[in-house]
Amino acid sequence: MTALADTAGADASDLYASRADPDRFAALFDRYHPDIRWYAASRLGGERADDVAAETFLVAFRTRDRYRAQAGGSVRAWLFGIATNLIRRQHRDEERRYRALAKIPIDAPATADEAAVDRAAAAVMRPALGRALAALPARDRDVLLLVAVAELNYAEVSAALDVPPGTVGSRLNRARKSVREALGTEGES
Amino acid sequence: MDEMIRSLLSEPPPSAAAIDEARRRLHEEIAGRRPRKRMTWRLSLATGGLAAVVAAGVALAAGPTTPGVQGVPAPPGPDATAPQLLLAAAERAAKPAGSGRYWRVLLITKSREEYMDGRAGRETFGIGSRHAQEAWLPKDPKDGNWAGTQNLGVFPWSAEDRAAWERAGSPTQFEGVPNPPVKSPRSRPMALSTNPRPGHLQQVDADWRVEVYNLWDPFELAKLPSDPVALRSAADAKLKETGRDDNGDSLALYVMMTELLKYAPATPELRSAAFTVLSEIPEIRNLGEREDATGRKGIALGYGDIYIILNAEDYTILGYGLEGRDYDTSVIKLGWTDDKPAPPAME
Repeated sequence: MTALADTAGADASDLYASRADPDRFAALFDRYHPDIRWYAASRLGGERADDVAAETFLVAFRTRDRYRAQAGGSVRAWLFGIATNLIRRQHRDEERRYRALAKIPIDAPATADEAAVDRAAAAVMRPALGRALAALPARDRDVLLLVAVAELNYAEVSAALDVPPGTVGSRLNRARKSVREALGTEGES
Repeated sequence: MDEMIRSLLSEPPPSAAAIDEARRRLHEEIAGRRPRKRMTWRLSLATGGLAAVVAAGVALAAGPTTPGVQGVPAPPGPDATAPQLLLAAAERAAKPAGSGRYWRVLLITKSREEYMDGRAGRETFGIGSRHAQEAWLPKDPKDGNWAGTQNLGVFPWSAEDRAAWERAGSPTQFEGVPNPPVKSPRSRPMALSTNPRPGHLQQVDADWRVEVYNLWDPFELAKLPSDPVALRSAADAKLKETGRDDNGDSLALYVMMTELLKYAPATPELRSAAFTVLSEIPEIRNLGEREDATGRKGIALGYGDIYIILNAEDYTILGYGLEGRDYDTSVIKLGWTDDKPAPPAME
């Protein structure tokens, strides 16, 4: 029921209204550009993410007549679906980013504060995560990152990628298993 | 694990220039599709025209008075509990059933422009905007579903913002500048106006809804039984069937019943039953007097942060919104009509 308590209603209003009154679309940019850019940056790094995030809203605006309210779907999920399609076209850059993450050297934490512990853990885990993500099939990676990074639920991922919820579940399980194994091995070594 | 992935992949936020560039690209795209008509009328919402909008809306919305109102005890005062208010509403639920070719719902939404300020002379002030949206839902599907929208212009948001706008000479046209400000050389102010623009009308799909909370088809809701006990069990069954009952509380029921009151072509008996069902939801609170998005005062009742505002006279719904969000809606018209769909033309 959380969708009721957030801006889902306002999103659909703005989107439908923008079909006749294009200026209304700008409200969606204001509301979701930060989320979309965050998601794109997680997959492509900052610079390419700037482009993908901007492009997502242009594509969404041009195809706004095709949006359909559907079970589990939302304007937000639809935007993430568009961003995911754009990211997929740049899969070489995405994989390069993950391989780069895998090569970041472990630098010693500068201070002994609490954040330093996190930094140390991150320094150990990030290369393993980078390797695991680079090795995942693109379709499984889309589902995993829509859930983990974009924080969509199954129904939203299903609507965003236009695949059945059961398929979302099986891809997610497979992706999580691979990543867990990769991180686990790293932790033991 | 998700939290870890999220944090391990995180990157610093974009530069202000990058955000501005993305916004500029979208605005250019939008400008290319914008209808080229010039606005022709003058009356400004920001300078008091709103009262006229509301008066016009209310006059149009007022239907025949319902016989049920006479002989009913005096309404409970503002200190009444939510169940007392809702039961009083159930006794008085008065709204013409009537008939017509289209069921017509006209809403005005008010929202804050979170990322843009107005600028005129030396003054910079927060702004909000209002939009009308209208749904024409056909009794006979052959007549088609129609949706109207109209940009009603911007206005200074708070009393403080209004004072700044007045110091600048109460301009009806001024610049919109990004907030937080951006230093990009490409950043250009937008032209804003306090005047309504021409309305638009378009035919939409049959599954298009009054979009605001967009969960239930108003015609489906109107078919629910008008006895409170039967209504409650039919609602519970529908919630179960659609998987919207999984919260373990009454939020979904509250939403369904308030949507019925907000959008559906329901008979007075069904509206009354909906109020009775609401009176049995313990989470609903009386929030006291409150203004709707067009400044009309009524009694607010809320479930968590989702509230409705009732007209204290006839218990029709004046408006609704979400607590703590700068976004709320007024219900301006709700009724059957034989009019032909036309673009909204609020002044």
